[in-house]
Amino acid sequence: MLLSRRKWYISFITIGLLLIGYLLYAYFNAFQTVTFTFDSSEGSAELVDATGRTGITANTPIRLKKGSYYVAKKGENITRQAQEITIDSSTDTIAVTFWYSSDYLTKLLAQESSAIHNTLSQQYPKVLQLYAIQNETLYHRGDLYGAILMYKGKDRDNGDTLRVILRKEGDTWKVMSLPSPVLTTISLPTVPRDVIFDVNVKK
Amino acid sequence: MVIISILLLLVGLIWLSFNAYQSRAGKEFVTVSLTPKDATITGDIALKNAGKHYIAPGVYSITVSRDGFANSEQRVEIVKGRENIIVALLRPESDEAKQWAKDNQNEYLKAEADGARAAQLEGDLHRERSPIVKELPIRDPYFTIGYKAKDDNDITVTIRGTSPRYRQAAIEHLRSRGFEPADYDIEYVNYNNPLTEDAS
Repeated sequence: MLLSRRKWYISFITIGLLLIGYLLYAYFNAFQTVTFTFDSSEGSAELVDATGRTGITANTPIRLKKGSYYVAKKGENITRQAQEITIDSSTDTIAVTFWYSSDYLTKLLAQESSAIHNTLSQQYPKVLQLYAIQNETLYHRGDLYGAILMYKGKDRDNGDTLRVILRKEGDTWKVMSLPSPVLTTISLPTVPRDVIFDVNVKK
Repeated sequence: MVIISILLLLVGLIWLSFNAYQSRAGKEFVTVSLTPKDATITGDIALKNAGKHYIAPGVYSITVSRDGFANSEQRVEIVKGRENIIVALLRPESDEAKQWAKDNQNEYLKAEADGARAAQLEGDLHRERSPIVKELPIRDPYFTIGYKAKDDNDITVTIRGTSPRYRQAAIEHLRSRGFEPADYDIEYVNYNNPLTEDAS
C-alpha cells in the first residue's frame, strides 16, 4: 500500500517531534539543582571538573550537570584536601566540610591537652601511672584526638603499647573505646578510618 | 494512520523500556523465596512478596510473617554485581499451618534447595570479602595468627604471642602481607589489658 506524500510528512513530523521531545527531556534530565552548605567565614570552596573551576556560594542553589566533581577548599586555617562528590538525581544538598590545617590543629591541641588527659585519667584512674601519653594528634575539625600510651609499669607480659581515640562532643571529650593495642573500624564504627589507621601506625 | 499508530506504539515501547531501565538503574536483581509463598515481608526494604525484584544494594532488616507461622527476622544484604537470594522458610505453629506444611512438602524441599544456594553464595562472599581467611593460620616461631568465625558471617582475627614485641610483630606481619589490621576484628589471645579493670 502506497502512502500519500501528506501522510509521509505527518509521519516524519510526528517522529521528529517525539525525537525533539526526548532530546529535550534527556537534556534537562542531565542537570540537577544542588545547594552547597558551608561556613563561608571559615573559607571558600570551588568546584573542579575536567572543564575547569567554578566558585561556589554557600547556601545558594546552583544547577549542575550530573556527574563527579572535586570540591577544592581554601581558608586561613583550612587544609587544602579536596572533597570528591557525585551529583545524581537524588542529590539536593552537599555539605562541604572544612578540616583544619595541621598547624592550626597543633595550636588547638595545646589548648585541649589538659582536658583530654583529665578525661582519660577520670575514666582510667591508673592510666597516667601505667602509661606515658605520647604522639598526640588532633584530627579533622579538632574534634578527634589520637595518641599512643607507652607502658611504663612492671607487668612486662602485658605491657603492649596502647592506642586511644577521643572525640569532643559539645565541650566534653569522650574516650571512644578501651585503649587497645590495635584499634579497628569494627570497634570504632563512628570514627573515620583514616584516623584509626593513623593512630594504629603511631610509634 | 496505521503507520502512525505503529510508530507511536514503537515510541511508547521505547519509552517504557527507558523508564524500566531508569527505575532499575543502580538496583540488583533479587530472587525472593518465601515458604509459604503468600507470606509477607515488612522492614526497611522496598519489597513485600516472593518473586523477582530489583533492590538497591545495602543491608536491610526484614521480618517475614504469615498467620499461623513463626516470624522470621533476618538481616539481608543485597550485594552489587552478584546473584542475590532472600530465603525465608517459616516454621508452622498453628494446627492449620502444620497441616499446610504436611500437605506442601514439595514447597519446603524447594525452599531448602534455595536456602542451600543462598548459603553457598554467602560462603563465596565471605571468602571474597575476607581473603585473609585463605592465608590463615600463619605460624611463626614467635606468634600465631588465626581466626574464628562470628555469627554475622564475619571473622575475628586472633593473635597469639608471648610478649608485646611479638604481638606487635604479628600486626606488622599482617600489614606486610597486605592486610590492614584496622579493618579486622582483632583479638589478642592470652593478653590482659591493664586498663580493662581500671575503667571507672
